[in-house]
Amino acid sequence: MLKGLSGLDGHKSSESVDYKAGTGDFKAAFDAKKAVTFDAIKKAAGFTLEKMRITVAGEPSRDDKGLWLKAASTYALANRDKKKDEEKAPDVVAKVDELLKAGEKAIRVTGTLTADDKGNHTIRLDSAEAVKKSPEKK
Amino acid sequence: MAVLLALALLSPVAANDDTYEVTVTISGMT
Repeated sequence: MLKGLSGLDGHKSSESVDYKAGTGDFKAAFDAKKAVTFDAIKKAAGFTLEKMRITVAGEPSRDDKGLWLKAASTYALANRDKKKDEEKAPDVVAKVDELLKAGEKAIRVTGTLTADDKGNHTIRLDSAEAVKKSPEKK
Repeated sequence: MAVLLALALLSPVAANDDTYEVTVTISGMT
């Protein structure tokens, strides 16, 4: 599993986060300049892929086809489905629109990564924030 | 599995602006 991930182009590091009863979470970091596809990671992971989450920074944009994040790959951005214990899913798309409106050129998003059969990637968003160049934090 | 965990300890992930981070959940491991 980890060996498979470490063989991908741009791989920097990886670790096992959790493992219980045949199901495990594995985290890997990749060079921001290298595009690694959903399918490549799925193939490297082996076994049965239950979920793939991504945290990635890039330039947001919006056109008539939707909301996008341009990094080494270009990702479509969408709100995730609501969880069972939520009244409704958070409107992270609206937050990205606000960041765009505020002129932010770099944002970091976290969400569930999916790909269609044409290799188009979509991130179902859990969160989004502006990437601050200065080290100051709130 | 012990081998995987040992490998994990050797290569901690450090996310920053030069990297992006992917977490995969895998089932079916025995």
